Amino acid sequence: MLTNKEQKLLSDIRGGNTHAYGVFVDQYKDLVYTLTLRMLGNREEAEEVSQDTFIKIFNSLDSFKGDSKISSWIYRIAYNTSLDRIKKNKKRRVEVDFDFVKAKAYADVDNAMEKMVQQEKSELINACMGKLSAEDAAIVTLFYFEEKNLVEMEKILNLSVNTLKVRLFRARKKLADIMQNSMLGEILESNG
Amino acid sequence: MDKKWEELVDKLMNEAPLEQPSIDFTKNLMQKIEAETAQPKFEYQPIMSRATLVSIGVSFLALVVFLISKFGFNSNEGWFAKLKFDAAFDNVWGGFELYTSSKVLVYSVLLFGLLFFAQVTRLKRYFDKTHF
Repeated sequence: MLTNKEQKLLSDIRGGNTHAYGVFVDQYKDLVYTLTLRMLGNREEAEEVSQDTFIKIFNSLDSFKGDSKISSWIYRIAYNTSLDRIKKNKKRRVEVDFDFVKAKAYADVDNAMEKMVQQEKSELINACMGKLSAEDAAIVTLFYFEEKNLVEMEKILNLSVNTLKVRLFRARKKLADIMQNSMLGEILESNG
Repeated sequence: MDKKWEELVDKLMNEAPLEQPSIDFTKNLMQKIEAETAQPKFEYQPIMSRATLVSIGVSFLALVVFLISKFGFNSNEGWFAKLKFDAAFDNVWGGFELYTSSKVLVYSVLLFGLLFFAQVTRLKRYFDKTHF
């Protein structure tokens, strides 16, 4: 499951080479931070949880057997650490229910998206993610991180593929609706 | 129309830029990890284990009890009565009984001691300054 390069890096880290761990962190920090940020919806907290995640990874590196992708193992730790933090905070994220399905002009949204610069895209996604539950935000994020590989997601999230499919469909649909609403709002605003 | 929303989400999510943590992220993390691993892992270890100490204690007590039961408390009886230390001490101290020293020697020894301790503090200050 591991590439030679990964194996070399891991054995270096296990051998007590802290510099090698720095390289490892640099490789995965953006992915971990993105996942935690989308789950927690707060940059400071996401940074703290990401740090905790990497400390946990460092301490439990010996228990990683290499039977799954290393990224999956990292995501699982990041996901669980984020959930723990949410539980600790007992902060409920505001969820928006979209059980109504309207015929919407998705084409308009598509055009508007082209014009957005990266920064705006990122802000929009974070804002929309903030309206999903933390678990749904994680499911959607990991779906794209893992390039739609449900088997890897099963390992990360400890959910069966069937459950995943259902939750994924709902979460993506909800996200589409949230995006639709927020972007149409922006278009209307900018058109006066 | 049904697939349109899926395409939209796919497109946006696939193009979504990764978020970046603060610039110091790795540095801060490594500092935390180093602080954690560098903590002295000193554990107090007794020179002798509890079992050894207990067995030594028990055997010493057993020896005392054995000696008392064998020879009793009275030092004028049995084996103790045969011990004579007087001769050994007489030889050692006997030579000093007639010893006298001049006042000059006494004062010189005292002065040497005084200066020696005065120098100790001076030397200590000197080494503190130069070596640390």
